[in-house]
Amino acid sequence: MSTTFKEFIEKKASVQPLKLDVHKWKQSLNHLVDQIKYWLKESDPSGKHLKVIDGTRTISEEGLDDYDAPTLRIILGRDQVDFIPEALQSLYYLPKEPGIHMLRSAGVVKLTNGYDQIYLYRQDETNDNWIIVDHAKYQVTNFDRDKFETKLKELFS
Amino acid sequence: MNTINDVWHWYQESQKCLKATSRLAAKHWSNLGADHFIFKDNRFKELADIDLWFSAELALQEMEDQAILMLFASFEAQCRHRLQNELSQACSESATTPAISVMAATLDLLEEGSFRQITQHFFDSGKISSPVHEQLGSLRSYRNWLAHGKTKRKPCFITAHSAYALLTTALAGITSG
Repeated sequence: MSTTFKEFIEKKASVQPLKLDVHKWKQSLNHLVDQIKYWLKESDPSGKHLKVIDGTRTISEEGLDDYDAPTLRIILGRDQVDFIPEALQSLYYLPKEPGIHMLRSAGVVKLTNGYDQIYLYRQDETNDNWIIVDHAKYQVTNFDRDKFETKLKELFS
Repeated sequence: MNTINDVWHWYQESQKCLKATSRLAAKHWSNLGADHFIFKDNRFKELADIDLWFSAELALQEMEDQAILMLFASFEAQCRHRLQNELSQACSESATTPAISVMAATLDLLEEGSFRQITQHFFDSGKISSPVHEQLGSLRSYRNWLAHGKTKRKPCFITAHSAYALLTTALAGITSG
């Protein structure tokens, strides 16, 4: 029996991806940038060693209007690490015995020194839970100050 | 046929080499000193650290997407091959001429037909789970975006590592049993 148009549109609507909120995503990014700057300031209160430069980048994604996202450049001596938001719509995998599970995340940020990178994924839209996914080591850890500083040391070394 | 693991091996080795080159250029090249023996080689004599770094970075920037394209191409080939084998076996076991004729036509379609229908077949037959099937759809959209020259908006963000994890998970289900 063929489906009615009403049934068709209801079925079609049920498989559409969740509507993602760019405004909330940008708020979440701004909170994360503020948090990182606060941690850096606590580690270098005088600001003599670390130089932190704010910036923005325009991101284009399917189904969304172009938007500007905050970036950071952290400079220590001759080295630098960039905080670069990549996209709101993103996929990543979670290692979970016995297989590997893919999940859709609500945003991803890259921390990079130019040749190595670490990805921070925002787990969902309802709260600002960020995780670090180490793709090479199949490791997932919650993002906090301790993890951030450990990863930053790696990127600066 | 390049397997997914062949492609993955190429990606990892190439990336390791380019990252080492980038780091060498950024951190050590200018500290070697003009009298270092390496600069007796004409190929390196005129090579500035910034040029070496830029070359490596340019290659690294595209490497993720190139790897995803190649991984997906390998996955697609292996899926089509698997389904062709299943159908050929069914053909050889079938006694009726009409059934053979239908299967032969299907085999022809497999060469050029939509890959979405092939993954749908594996999903319908229970070889890949619903989440894997859904994520394959997202990855296919990303592959199409790459294959069409990135002219439209990016459908999602995905790393080569995640693509490899997804494709090997899917392939393990497809080739099981």
